[in-house]
Amino acid sequence: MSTAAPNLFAQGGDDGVLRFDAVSKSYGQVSALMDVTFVVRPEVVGLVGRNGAGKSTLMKLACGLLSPSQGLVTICGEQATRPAARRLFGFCPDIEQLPAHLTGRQFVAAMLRLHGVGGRAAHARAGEVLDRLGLGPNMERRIGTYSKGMRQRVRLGQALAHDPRVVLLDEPMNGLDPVARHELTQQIEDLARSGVAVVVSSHVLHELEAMVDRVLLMHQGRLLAEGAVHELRNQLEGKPHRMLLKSRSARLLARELAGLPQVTGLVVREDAVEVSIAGQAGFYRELTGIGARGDGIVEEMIPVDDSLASLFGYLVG
Amino acid sequence: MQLLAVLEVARQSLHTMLRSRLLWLVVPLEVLAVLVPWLILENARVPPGGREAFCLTAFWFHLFLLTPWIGMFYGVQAVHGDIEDRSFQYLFLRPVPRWVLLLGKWLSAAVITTALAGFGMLVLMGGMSLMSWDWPSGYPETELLPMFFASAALAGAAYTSVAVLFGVWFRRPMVWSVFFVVGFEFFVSNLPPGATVRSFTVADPVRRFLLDWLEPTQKLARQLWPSQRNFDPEQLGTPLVSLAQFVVFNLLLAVWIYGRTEYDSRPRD
Repeated sequence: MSTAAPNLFAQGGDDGVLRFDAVSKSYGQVSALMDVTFVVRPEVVGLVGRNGAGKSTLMKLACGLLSPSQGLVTICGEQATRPAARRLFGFCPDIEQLPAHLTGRQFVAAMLRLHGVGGRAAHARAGEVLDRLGLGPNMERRIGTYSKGMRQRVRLGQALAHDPRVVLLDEPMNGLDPVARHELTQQIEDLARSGVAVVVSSHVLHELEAMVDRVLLMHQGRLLAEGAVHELRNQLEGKPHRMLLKSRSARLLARELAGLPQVTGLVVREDAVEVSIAGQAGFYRELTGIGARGDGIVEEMIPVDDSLASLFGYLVG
Repeated sequence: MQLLAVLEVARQSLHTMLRSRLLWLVVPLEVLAVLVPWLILENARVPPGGREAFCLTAFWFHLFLLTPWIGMFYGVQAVHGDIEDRSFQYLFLRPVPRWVLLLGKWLSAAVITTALAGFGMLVLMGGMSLMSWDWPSGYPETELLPMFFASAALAGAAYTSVAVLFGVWFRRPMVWSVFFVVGFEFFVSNLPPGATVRSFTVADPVRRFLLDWLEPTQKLARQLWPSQRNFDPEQLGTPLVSLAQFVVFNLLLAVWIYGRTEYDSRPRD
Protein backbone atom coordinates (compact mmCIF):
# COMPACT_ATOMS: atom_id res chain seq x y z
CA MET A 1 0.00 0.00 0.00
CA SER A 2 1.51 3.27 -1.10
CA THR A 3 1.57 6.21 1.27
CA ALA A 4 1.72 9.33 -0.85
CA ALA A 5 3.03 12.52 0.72
CA PRO A 6 0.48 15.09 1.82
CA ASN A 7 -0.24 17.07 -1.32
CA LEU A 8 -0.66 20.67 -0.24
CA PHE A 9 -1.79 21.76 -3.69
CA ALA A 10 -3.39 18.74 -5.30
CA GLN A 11 -3.72 18.94 -9.07
CA GLY A 12 -6.47 17.20 -11.00
CA GLY A 13 -6.07 15.15 -14.17
CA ASP A 14 -3.58 12.43 -14.98
CA ASP A 15 -1.33 13.94 -17.61
CA GLY A 16 1.91 13.08 -15.81
CA VAL A 17 5.03 12.65 -17.90
CA LEU A 18 7.12 11.30 -15.02
CA ARG A 19 5.44 8.93 -12.62
CA PHE A 20 6.70 7.15 -9.51
CA ASP A 21 4.34 4.44 -8.28
CA ALA A 22 5.17 3.14 -4.79
CA VAL A 23 8.88 3.10 -5.59
CA SER A 24 11.41 1.77 -3.09
CA LYS A 25 15.13 1.29 -3.52
CA SER A 26 17.39 -0.64 -1.19
CA TYR A 27 21.09 -1.43 -1.24
CA GLY A 28 21.29 -4.62 0.75
CA GLN A 29 19.98 -3.76 4.20
CA VAL A 30 20.01 -0.02 3.56
CA SER A 31 16.82 1.60 2.27
CA ALA A 32 17.65 4.62 0.17
CA LEU A 33 14.09 5.32 -0.95
CA MET A 34 10.87 4.11 0.60
CA ASP A 35 7.46 3.91 -0.99
CA VAL A 36 7.64 7.08 -3.04
CA THR A 37 4.67 8.07 -5.19
CA PHE A 38 4.33 11.26 -7.20
CA VAL A 39 3.58 12.56 -10.67
CA VAL A 40 5.32 15.33 -12.59
CA ARG A 41 3.45 17.17 -15.31
CA PRO A 42 4.89 19.78 -17.70
CA GLU A 43 6.04 22.12 -14.92
CA VAL A 44 9.11 22.88 -12.84
CA VAL A 45 9.31 20.72 -9.74
CA GLY A 46 11.88 21.22 -7.04
CA LEU A 47 13.23 18.19 -5.22
CA VAL A 48 14.48 19.38 -1.85
CA GLY A 49 16.11 17.56 1.00
CA ARG A 50 19.28 17.38 3.03
CA ASN A 51 22.34 15.61 1.75
CA GLY A 52 21.58 11.90 1.91
CA ALA A 53 17.82 12.41 1.81
CA GLY A 54 17.51 10.28 -1.31
CA LYS A 55 17.32 13.01 -3.96
CA SER A 56 20.08 11.63 -6.16
CA THR A 57 18.75 8.08 -5.84
CA LEU A 58 15.34 9.33 -6.90
CA MET A 59 16.89 11.18 -9.86
CA LYS A 60 18.83 8.10 -10.96
CA LEU A 61 15.73 5.95 -10.69
CA ALA A 62 13.88 8.49 -12.81
CA CYS A 63 16.45 8.25 -15.57
CA GLY A 64 16.90 4.49 -15.41
CA LEU A 65 20.45 4.48 -14.05
CA LEU A 66 19.05 2.49 -11.12
CA SER A 67 16.21 -0.03 -11.11
CA PRO A 68 13.60 0.16 -8.37
CA SER A 69 13.62 -2.64 -5.80
CA GLN A 70 9.84 -2.25 -5.70
CA GLY A 71 7.34 -0.17 -7.64
CA LEU A 72 7.43 1.33 -11.10
CA VAL A 73 9.01 4.42 -12.64
CA THR A 74 7.61 5.51 -16.00
CA ILE A 75 8.31 8.37 -18.38
CA CYS A 76 5.46 9.10 -20.78
CA GLY A 77 4.21 5.57 -20.06
CA GLU A 78 7.57 3.97 -20.89
CA GLN A 79 9.45 2.09 -18.17
CA ALA A 80 12.42 4.27 -17.22
CA THR A 81 15.02 1.49 -17.46
CA ARG A 82 14.21 0.72 -21.12
CA PRO A 83 16.47 2.27 -23.79
CA ALA A 84 13.40 3.75 -25.55
CA ALA A 85 12.68 5.89 -22.47
CA ARG A 86 16.11 7.49 -22.71
CA ARG A 87 15.03 9.49 -25.75
CA LEU A 88 12.39 11.13 -23.58
CA PHE A 89 14.52 12.59 -20.80
CA GLY A 90 17.71 14.48 -20.28
CA PHE A 91 19.72 14.20 -17.08
CA CYS A 92 22.26 16.64 -15.77
CA PRO A 93 24.17 14.61 -13.15
CA ASP A 94 25.87 16.04 -10.11
CA ILE A 95 29.36 14.90 -11.12
CA GLU A 96 32.36 17.03 -11.98
CA GLN A 97 33.88 14.72 -14.58
CA LEU A 98 33.73 15.65 -18.22
CA PRO A 99 36.23 14.64 -20.90
CA ALA A 100 38.83 17.37 -20.55
CA HIS A 101 40.36 16.74 -23.99
CA LEU A 102 37.14 17.49 -25.90
CA THR A 103 35.63 20.87 -26.60
CA GLY A 104 32.20 21.54 -25.14
CA ARG A 105 30.71 21.30 -28.60
CA GLN A 106 32.48 18.00 -29.41
CA PHE A 107 31.21 16.43 -26.20
CA VAL A 108 27.59 17.42 -26.72
CA ALA A 109 27.79 16.37 -30.39
CA ALA A 110 29.29 13.00 -29.37
CA MET A 111 26.38 12.38 -27.00
CA LEU A 112 23.91 13.38 -29.71
CA ARG A 113 25.46 10.90 -32.12
CA LEU A 114 24.56 8.14 -29.69
CA HIS A 115 20.95 9.29 -30.12
CA GLY A 116 21.33 8.45 -33.80
CA VAL A 117 21.89 12.02 -34.99
CA GLY A 118 24.31 12.26 -37.93
CA GLY A 119 27.75 13.87 -37.58
CA ARG A 120 27.05 17.26 -39.16
CA ALA A 121 23.56 17.59 -37.72
CA ALA A 122 24.92 16.71 -34.26
CA HIS A 123 27.68 19.31 -34.60
CA ALA A 124 25.20 21.99 -35.67
CA ARG A 125 22.67 21.10 -32.97
CA ALA A 126 25.34 21.04 -30.26
CA GLY A 127 26.45 24.51 -31.31
CA GLU A 128 22.89 25.78 -31.28
CA VAL A 129 22.14 24.41 -27.78
CA LEU A 130 25.40 25.61 -26.23
CA ASP A 131 24.95 28.99 -27.80
CA ARG A 132 21.48 29.23 -26.27
CA LEU A 133 22.97 28.26 -22.92
CA GLY A 134 25.39 31.15 -23.18
CA LEU A 135 28.62 29.26 -23.82
CA GLY A 136 29.16 31.23 -27.02
CA PRO A 137 32.62 31.03 -28.60
CA ASN A 138 33.92 29.12 -25.56
CA MET A 139 32.21 26.01 -26.89
CA GLU A 140 35.22 25.54 -29.20
CA ARG A 141 37.66 25.51 -26.28
CA ARG A 142 38.69 22.33 -24.51
CA ILE A 143 36.57 21.46 -21.47
CA GLY A 144 39.74 21.16 -19.40
CA THR A 145 40.06 24.95 -19.57
CA TYR A 146 36.46 25.65 -18.47
CA SER A 147 35.25 27.27 -15.28
CA LYS A 148 32.66 25.49 -13.11
CA GLY A 149 29.88 27.54 -14.66
CA MET A 150 30.94 26.64 -18.19
CA ARG A 151 31.12 22.95 -17.27
CA GLN A 152 27.63 23.17 -15.86
CA ARG A 153 26.43 24.60 -19.15
CA VAL A 154 28.02 21.69 -21.01
CA ARG A 155 26.34 19.21 -18.67
CA LEU A 156 23.07 21.01 -19.23
CA GLY A 157 23.72 21.02 -22.97
CA GLN A 158 24.08 17.26 -23.17
CA ALA A 159 20.81 16.91 -21.24
CA LEU A 160 18.87 19.24 -23.54
CA ALA A 161 20.36 18.68 -26.98
CA HIS A 162 18.05 15.81 -27.97
CA ASP A 163 14.87 17.76 -27.09
CA PRO A 164 13.71 15.65 -24.15
CA ARG A 165 10.20 15.80 -22.65
CA VAL A 166 11.55 15.58 -19.09
CA VAL A 167 14.72 17.21 -17.81
CA LEU A 168 16.24 16.11 -14.51
CA LEU A 169 18.82 18.43 -12.97
CA ASP A 170 20.72 17.08 -9.97
CA GLU A 171 22.01 19.96 -7.82
CA PRO A 172 22.57 22.18 -10.86
CA MET A 173 23.35 25.26 -8.76
CA ASN A 174 26.36 23.69 -7.05
CA GLY A 175 29.43 25.83 -7.52
CA LEU A 176 27.68 28.51 -9.56
CA ASP A 177 28.08 32.17 -8.77
CA PRO A 178 24.93 34.30 -8.37
CA VAL A 179 25.04 35.54 -11.96
CA ALA A 180 25.27 32.02 -13.35
CA ARG A 181 22.48 30.93 -10.98
CA HIS A 182 20.28 33.71 -12.26
CA GLU A 183 20.97 32.69 -15.87
CA LEU A 184 20.29 29.04 -15.12
CA THR A 185 17.02 29.99 -13.45
CA GLN A 186 15.98 31.82 -16.59
CA GLN A 187 16.95 28.87 -18.78
CA ILE A 188 14.89 26.52 -16.64
CA GLU A 189 11.92 28.86 -16.84
CA ASP A 190 12.32 28.97 -20.64
CA LEU A 191 12.31 25.18 -20.73
CA ALA A 192 9.12 25.00 -18.71
CA ARG A 193 7.50 27.56 -21.00
CA SER A 194 8.32 25.32 -23.96
CA GLY A 195 6.32 22.47 -22.39
CA VAL A 196 9.18 20.47 -20.87
CA ALA A 197 8.77 18.94 -17.42
CA VAL A 198 11.74 19.91 -15.27
CA VAL A 199 12.77 18.35 -11.97
CA VAL A 200 15.50 20.26 -10.12
CA SER A 201 17.09 18.95 -6.96
CA SER A 202 18.77 21.02 -4.29
CA HIS A 203 19.53 20.85 -0.60
CA VAL A 204 18.72 24.54 -0.28
CA LEU A 205 15.10 25.51 -0.72
CA HIS A 206 15.92 29.16 -1.47
CA GLU A 207 17.87 28.20 -4.56
CA LEU A 208 14.72 26.84 -6.08
CA GLU A 209 12.09 29.27 -4.94
CA ALA A 210 12.55 31.60 -7.89
CA MET A 211 11.96 28.94 -10.50
CA VAL A 212 9.81 26.05 -9.31
CA ASP A 213 6.04 25.66 -9.34
CA ARG A 214 5.99 22.85 -6.84
CA VAL A 215 8.36 21.32 -4.34
CA LEU A 216 8.81 17.70 -3.28
CA LEU A 217 10.39 17.45 0.15
CA MET A 218 12.57 14.41 0.75
CA HIS A 219 13.71 13.25 4.16
CA GLN A 220 15.45 9.97 5.01
CA GLY A 221 14.37 8.31 1.79
CA ARG A 222 10.74 9.30 2.09
CA LEU A 223 8.70 11.90 0.30
CA LEU A 224 7.74 14.04 3.24
CA ALA A 225 5.51 16.59 1.58
CA GLU A 226 4.78 18.28 -1.69
CA GLY A 227 3.30 21.65 -2.39
CA ALA A 228 3.72 25.12 -3.83
CA VAL A 229 6.98 26.75 -2.97
CA HIS A 230 5.46 29.89 -1.46
CA GLU A 231 3.48 27.77 0.97
CA LEU A 232 6.60 26.04 2.20
CA ARG A 233 8.55 29.28 2.19
CA ASN A 234 5.94 30.86 4.40
CA GLN A 235 6.51 28.06 6.85
CA LEU A 236 10.20 28.85 6.82
CA GLU A 237 9.72 32.60 7.10
CA GLY A 238 10.86 33.93 10.40
CA LYS A 239 12.95 30.90 11.21
CA PRO A 240 16.51 32.15 11.53
CA HIS A 241 19.25 30.41 9.57
CA ARG A 242 22.88 30.92 8.58
CA MET A 243 24.70 30.93 5.26
CA LEU A 244 28.40 30.90 4.46
CA LEU A 245 29.16 33.19 1.53
CA LYS A 246 32.54 32.54 -0.05
CA SER A 247 34.07 35.72 -1.35
CA ARG A 248 37.34 37.11 -2.67
CA SER A 249 36.44 40.42 -0.98
CA ALA A 250 35.00 39.22 2.32
CA ARG A 251 35.30 42.60 4.07
CA LEU A 252 33.59 44.45 1.23
CA LEU A 253 30.82 41.86 1.16
CA ALA A 254 30.35 42.13 4.92
CA ARG A 255 29.99 45.91 4.57
CA GLU A 256 27.31 45.44 1.90
CA LEU A 257 25.45 42.84 3.96
CA ALA A 258 25.55 44.89 7.14
CA GLY A 259 23.09 47.33 5.58
CA LEU A 260 20.42 44.70 4.92
CA PRO A 261 17.53 44.61 7.42
CA GLN A 262 17.25 40.77 7.30
CA VAL A 263 20.83 40.30 8.50
CA THR A 264 21.11 39.73 12.23
CA GLY A 265 24.75 38.73 12.49
CA LEU A 266 28.01 38.62 10.53
CA VAL A 267 31.25 36.74 11.03
CA VAL A 268 33.99 37.83 8.63
CA ARG A 269 36.62 35.24 7.71
CA GLU A 270 39.56 35.46 5.34
CA ASP A 271 37.70 34.23 2.26
CA ALA A 272 34.11 34.07 3.44
CA VAL A 273 31.37 35.75 5.42
CA GLU A 274 29.03 33.82 7.68
CA VAL A 275 25.74 35.62 7.79
CA SER A 276 22.78 35.04 10.10
CA ILE A 277 19.43 35.81 8.53
CA ALA A 278 16.08 36.22 10.20
CA GLY A 279 13.31 36.08 7.60
CA GLN A 280 14.40 35.71 4.03
CA ALA A 281 11.96 38.10 2.38
CA GLY A 282 14.11 40.06 -0.04
CA PHE A 283 17.46 38.86 1.28
CA TYR A 284 18.31 36.55 -1.61
CA ARG A 285 17.14 39.14 -4.15
CA GLU A 286 19.49 41.69 -2.56
CA LEU A 287 22.29 39.13 -2.50
CA THR A 288 21.86 38.40 -6.22
CA GLY A 289 22.15 42.15 -6.83
CA ILE A 290 25.39 42.30 -4.84
CA GLY A 291 26.80 39.20 -6.55
CA ALA A 292 25.94 40.51 -10.01
CA ARG A 293 28.49 43.28 -9.56
CA GLY A 294 31.13 40.64 -10.27
CA ASP A 295 34.75 40.69 -9.06
CA GLY A 296 34.08 37.48 -7.13
CA ILE A 297 32.30 39.32 -4.35
CA VAL A 298 30.03 36.29 -3.92
CA GLU A 299 31.57 33.09 -5.25
CA GLU A 300 29.51 30.44 -3.53
CA MET A 301 26.68 30.06 -1.03
CA ILE A 302 26.81 27.25 1.49
CA PRO A 303 24.06 26.72 4.06
CA VAL A 304 25.59 26.42 7.53
CA ASP A 305 22.62 25.15 9.50
CA ASP A 306 20.33 23.76 6.89
CA SER A 307 17.10 25.67 7.26
CA LEU A 308 15.26 22.58 6.10
CA ALA A 309 15.98 21.01 9.45
CA SER A 310 13.55 23.37 11.12
CA LEU A 311 11.03 22.86 8.36
CA PHE A 312 11.26 19.12 8.69
CA GLY A 313 10.77 19.42 12.39
CA TYR A 314 7.77 21.61 11.76
CA LEU A 315 6.25 19.27 9.16
CA VAL A 316 6.89 16.12 11.11
CA GLY A 317 5.51 17.76 14.20
CA MET B 1 21.64 0.14 -36.70
CA GLN B 2 23.22 -1.34 -33.57
CA LEU B 3 26.39 -2.07 -35.56
CA LEU B 4 26.63 1.64 -36.38
CA ALA B 5 26.19 2.42 -32.69
CA VAL B 6 28.99 -0.04 -31.81
CA LEU B 7 31.26 1.69 -34.33
CA GLU B 8 30.33 5.13 -32.99
CA VAL B 9 31.10 4.08 -29.41
CA ALA B 10 34.38 2.56 -30.64
CA ARG B 11 35.26 5.79 -32.44
CA GLN B 12 34.59 7.90 -29.36
CA SER B 13 36.44 5.49 -27.10
CA LEU B 14 39.42 5.37 -29.46
CA HIS B 15 39.51 9.15 -29.54
CA THR B 16 39.80 9.16 -25.75
CA MET B 17 42.41 6.39 -25.64
CA LEU B 18 44.63 8.15 -28.14
CA ARG B 19 45.05 10.86 -25.49
CA SER B 20 46.58 8.33 -23.10
CA ARG B 21 50.10 9.03 -21.91
CA LEU B 22 50.91 5.34 -22.35
CA LEU B 23 51.50 6.07 -26.03
CA TRP B 24 54.43 8.28 -25.06
CA LEU B 25 56.01 5.29 -23.35
CA VAL B 26 55.11 2.52 -25.78
CA VAL B 27 56.00 4.18 -29.08
CA PRO B 28 59.60 5.10 -28.08
CA LEU B 29 59.97 1.64 -26.52
CA GLU B 30 58.96 0.04 -29.80
CA VAL B 31 61.45 2.17 -31.69
CA LEU B 32 64.17 1.19 -29.21
CA ALA B 33 63.20 -2.46 -29.68
CA VAL B 34 65.02 -2.33 -33.02
CA LEU B 35 68.16 -2.70 -30.91
CA VAL B 36 66.99 -6.02 -29.38
CA PRO B 37 68.02 -8.19 -32.41
CA TRP B 38 71.38 -6.42 -32.38
CA LEU B 39 71.82 -7.37 -28.70
CA ILE B 40 70.87 -10.98 -29.53
CA LEU B 41 73.49 -10.98 -32.26
CA GLU B 42 76.15 -9.54 -29.98
CA ASN B 43 75.54 -12.10 -27.23
CA ALA B 44 74.86 -15.24 -29.27
CA ARG B 45 77.45 -18.01 -29.53
CA VAL B 46 75.99 -18.92 -32.90
CA PRO B 47 74.84 -15.68 -34.58
CA PRO B 48 71.20 -15.96 -35.69
CA GLY B 49 69.98 -15.09 -39.16
CA GLY B 50 67.66 -12.18 -39.88
CA ARG B 51 64.53 -14.37 -39.97
CA GLU B 52 65.33 -15.96 -36.61
CA ALA B 53 66.21 -12.64 -34.96
CA PHE B 54 63.03 -10.99 -36.24
CA CYS B 55 60.83 -13.89 -35.11
CA LEU B 56 62.43 -14.00 -31.66
CA THR B 57 62.13 -10.25 -31.11
CA ALA B 58 58.65 -9.89 -32.59
CA PHE B 59 57.38 -12.85 -30.58
CA TRP B 60 59.05 -12.43 -27.21
CA PHE B 61 59.22 -8.64 -27.04
CA HIS B 62 56.11 -7.54 -28.93
CA LEU B 63 53.65 -10.44 -28.66
CA PHE B 64 54.68 -11.88 -25.33
CA LEU B 65 55.80 -8.84 -23.37
CA LEU B 66 54.23 -5.65 -24.73
CA THR B 67 50.91 -6.75 -26.22
CA PRO B 68 49.46 -8.31 -23.02
CA TRP B 69 50.13 -5.17 -21.01
CA ILE B 70 48.98 -2.75 -23.68
CA GLY B 71 45.84 -4.84 -24.21
CA MET B 72 45.08 -5.17 -20.52
CA PHE B 73 45.70 -1.48 -19.89
CA TYR B 74 43.53 -0.21 -22.74
CA GLY B 75 40.81 -2.81 -22.17
CA VAL B 76 40.56 -1.92 -18.50
CA GLN B 77 40.80 1.78 -19.26
CA ALA B 78 38.03 1.60 -21.86
CA VAL B 79 35.39 0.25 -19.48
CA HIS B 80 36.69 0.88 -15.98
CA GLY B 81 37.95 4.44 -16.45
CA ASP B 82 34.50 5.95 -16.66
CA ILE B 83 33.09 3.61 -14.00
CA GLU B 84 35.81 4.85 -11.66
CA ASP B 85 35.15 8.56 -12.28
CA ARG B 86 31.40 8.01 -12.68
CA SER B 87 31.26 9.65 -16.12
CA PHE B 88 29.71 6.42 -17.43
CA GLN B 89 26.41 8.08 -16.55
CA TYR B 90 26.60 10.19 -19.70
CA LEU B 91 26.78 7.03 -21.83
CA PHE B 92 24.19 5.04 -19.89
CA LEU B 93 21.69 7.86 -20.45
CA ARG B 94 21.70 7.32 -24.21
CA PRO B 95 19.16 5.13 -26.01
CA VAL B 96 21.84 2.53 -26.66
CA PRO B 97 21.88 -0.91 -24.98
CA ARG B 98 24.80 -1.53 -22.69
CA TRP B 99 26.05 -4.44 -24.78
CA VAL B 100 26.57 -1.97 -27.62
CA LEU B 101 28.60 0.28 -25.33
CA LEU B 102 30.70 -2.63 -24.13
CA LEU B 103 31.39 -4.06 -27.59
CA GLY B 104 32.31 -0.61 -28.88
CA LYS B 105 34.76 -0.09 -26.05
CA TRP B 106 36.27 -3.55 -26.47
CA LEU B 107 36.62 -3.00 -30.20
CA SER B 108 38.47 0.27 -29.68
CA ALA B 109 40.84 -1.32 -27.16
CA ALA B 110 41.49 -4.27 -29.48
CA VAL B 111 42.16 -1.94 -32.42
CA ILE B 112 44.63 0.27 -30.57
CA THR B 113 46.43 -2.76 -29.08
CA THR B 114 46.74 -4.41 -32.48
CA ALA B 115 47.82 -1.17 -34.12
CA LEU B 116 50.54 -0.57 -31.53
CA ALA B 117 51.84 -4.14 -31.81
CA GLY B 118 51.73 -3.94 -35.60
CA PHE B 119 53.54 -0.61 -35.57
CA GLY B 120 56.27 -2.09 -33.39
CA MET B 121 56.76 -5.04 -35.72
CA LEU B 122 56.81 -2.77 -38.76
CA VAL B 123 59.47 -0.57 -37.15
CA LEU B 124 61.43 -3.69 -36.23
CA MET B 125 61.36 -5.02 -39.79
CA GLY B 126 62.27 -1.56 -41.11
CA GLY B 127 65.14 -1.21 -38.65
CA MET B 128 66.47 -4.68 -39.40
CA SER B 129 66.35 -4.09 -43.13
CA LEU B 130 68.75 -1.18 -42.59
CA MET B 131 71.22 -3.41 -40.72
CA SER B 132 73.45 -6.05 -42.22
CA TRP B 133 71.44 -9.16 -41.32
CA ASP B 134 71.89 -12.46 -43.01
CA TRP B 135 68.45 -13.32 -44.43
CA PRO B 136 68.06 -16.85 -45.91
CA SER B 137 66.38 -15.44 -49.00
CA GLY B 138 68.97 -12.68 -49.36
CA TYR B 139 66.54 -9.83 -48.55
CA PRO B 140 64.36 -8.87 -45.55
CA GLU B 141 61.47 -11.32 -45.37
CA THR B 142 58.51 -8.94 -45.24
CA GLU B 143 56.16 -11.91 -45.72
CA LEU B 144 56.70 -12.56 -41.99
CA LEU B 145 54.80 -9.38 -41.19
CA PRO B 146 51.26 -10.59 -42.08
CA MET B 147 51.64 -13.65 -39.79
CA PHE B 148 52.84 -11.53 -36.92
CA PHE B 149 50.17 -8.86 -37.58
CA ALA B 150 47.49 -11.57 -37.53
CA SER B 151 48.92 -12.98 -34.30
CA ALA B 152 48.96 -9.47 -32.79
CA ALA B 153 45.34 -8.94 -33.83
CA LEU B 154 44.32 -12.22 -32.17
CA ALA B 155 46.32 -11.45 -29.05
CA GLY B 156 44.92 -7.90 -28.96
CA ALA B 157 41.31 -9.10 -29.28
CA ALA B 158 41.81 -11.81 -26.64
CA TYR B 159 43.72 -9.80 -24.02
CA THR B 160 41.31 -6.88 -24.30
CA SER B 161 38.35 -9.27 -23.90
CA VAL B 162 39.86 -10.42 -20.58
CA ALA B 163 40.53 -6.81 -19.64
CA VAL B 164 36.98 -5.59 -20.31
CA LEU B 165 35.66 -8.53 -18.30
CA PHE B 166 37.89 -7.61 -15.37
CA GLY B 167 37.04 -3.92 -15.90
CA VAL B 168 33.29 -4.40 -15.56
CA TRP B 169 33.57 -7.00 -12.80
CA PHE B 170 36.28 -6.04 -10.34
CA ARG B 171 37.09 -2.89 -8.44
CA ARG B 172 40.82 -3.41 -8.99
CA PRO B 173 40.94 -4.79 -12.51
CA MET B 174 44.65 -4.10 -13.08
CA VAL B 175 45.54 -6.26 -10.07
CA TRP B 176 43.55 -9.11 -11.63
CA SER B 177 45.25 -8.39 -14.94
CA VAL B 178 48.65 -8.83 -13.33
CA PHE B 179 47.44 -12.09 -11.82
CA PHE B 180 46.19 -13.27 -15.21
CA VAL B 181 49.26 -12.36 -17.26
CA VAL B 182 52.03 -13.04 -14.79
CA GLY B 183 50.47 -15.71 -12.60
CA PHE B 184 47.95 -17.73 -14.56
CA GLU B 185 49.52 -17.61 -18.02
CA PHE B 186 52.99 -18.32 -16.65
CA PHE B 187 51.71 -21.26 -14.60
CA VAL B 188 49.79 -22.72 -17.53
CA SER B 189 52.73 -22.31 -19.92
CA ASN B 190 54.59 -24.94 -17.87
CA LEU B 191 51.83 -27.54 -18.18
CA PRO B 192 51.96 -30.32 -20.82
CA PRO B 193 50.94 -29.15 -24.31
CA GLY B 194 47.80 -31.26 -24.22
CA ALA B 195 46.45 -29.67 -21.02
CA THR B 196 42.92 -28.36 -21.59
CA VAL B 197 43.52 -25.36 -19.36
CA ARG B 198 45.92 -23.99 -21.96
CA SER B 199 42.94 -22.97 -24.09
CA PHE B 200 41.87 -20.62 -21.28
CA THR B 201 44.92 -18.48 -21.89
CA VAL B 202 45.88 -16.12 -24.69
CA ALA B 203 49.62 -16.66 -25.04
CA ASP B 204 49.39 -20.38 -25.69
CA PRO B 205 46.82 -20.40 -28.55
CA VAL B 206 48.49 -17.34 -30.12
CA ARG B 207 51.84 -19.14 -30.05
CA ARG B 208 50.29 -22.25 -31.63
CA PHE B 209 48.61 -20.12 -34.30
CA LEU B 210 51.89 -18.43 -35.15
CA LEU B 211 53.88 -21.66 -35.23
CA ASP B 212 51.28 -23.27 -37.46
CA TRP B 213 51.64 -20.45 -39.98
CA LEU B 214 55.38 -19.93 -39.56
CA GLU B 215 56.40 -23.58 -40.12
CA PRO B 216 59.59 -23.03 -38.10
CA THR B 217 62.77 -25.06 -37.98
CA GLN B 218 63.17 -27.26 -34.88
CA LYS B 219 65.63 -24.72 -33.48
CA LEU B 220 63.33 -21.74 -33.96
CA ALA B 221 60.36 -23.73 -32.64
CA ARG B 222 62.33 -24.56 -29.48
CA GLN B 223 63.20 -20.89 -29.06
CA LEU B 224 59.58 -19.81 -29.45
CA TRP B 225 58.13 -22.67 -27.38
CA PRO B 226 60.78 -23.62 -24.80
CA SER B 227 58.56 -26.06 -22.89
CA GLN B 228 58.29 -28.21 -26.02
CA ARG B 229 61.59 -29.96 -26.59
CA ASN B 230 60.49 -31.76 -29.73
CA PHE B 231 58.20 -29.59 -31.80
CA ASP B 232 55.47 -31.58 -33.47
CA PRO B 233 52.95 -29.69 -35.65
CA GLU B 234 50.34 -32.30 -34.70
CA GLN B 235 50.34 -30.85 -31.18
CA LEU B 236 49.20 -27.42 -32.35
CA GLY B 237 45.50 -28.32 -32.24
CA THR B 238 42.93 -25.69 -33.23
CA PRO B 239 44.19 -22.42 -31.73
CA LEU B 240 41.75 -20.21 -33.64
CA VAL B 241 38.79 -22.10 -32.25
CA SER B 242 40.26 -21.88 -28.73
CA LEU B 243 40.78 -18.13 -29.07
CA ALA B 244 37.34 -17.54 -30.58
CA GLN B 245 35.68 -19.48 -27.73
CA PHE B 246 37.78 -17.63 -25.18
CA VAL B 247 36.91 -14.19 -26.56
CA VAL B 248 33.21 -14.96 -26.97
CA PHE B 249 32.99 -16.39 -23.44
CA ASN B 250 34.70 -13.34 -21.94
CA LEU B 251 32.57 -10.88 -23.87
CA LEU B 252 29.31 -12.66 -23.11
CA LEU B 253 30.13 -12.72 -19.41
CA ALA B 254 31.23 -9.08 -19.52
CA VAL B 255 28.02 -8.04 -21.33
CA TRP B 256 25.95 -9.91 -18.76
CA ILE B 257 27.72 -8.22 -15.85
CA TYR B 258 27.78 -4.78 -17.49
CA GLY B 259 24.08 -4.99 -18.28
CA ARG B 260 23.06 -5.96 -14.76
CA THR B 261 25.38 -4.01 -12.50
CA GLU B 262 24.21 -0.74 -10.99
CA TYR B 263 27.57 0.98 -10.82
CA ASP B 264 25.91 3.99 -9.24
CA SER B 265 25.00 2.01 -6.19
CA ARG B 266 28.55 0.77 -5.58
CA PRO B 267 30.11 2.55 -2.64
CA ARG B 268 33.41 4.25 -3.44
CA ASP B 269 36.39 2.83 -1.62
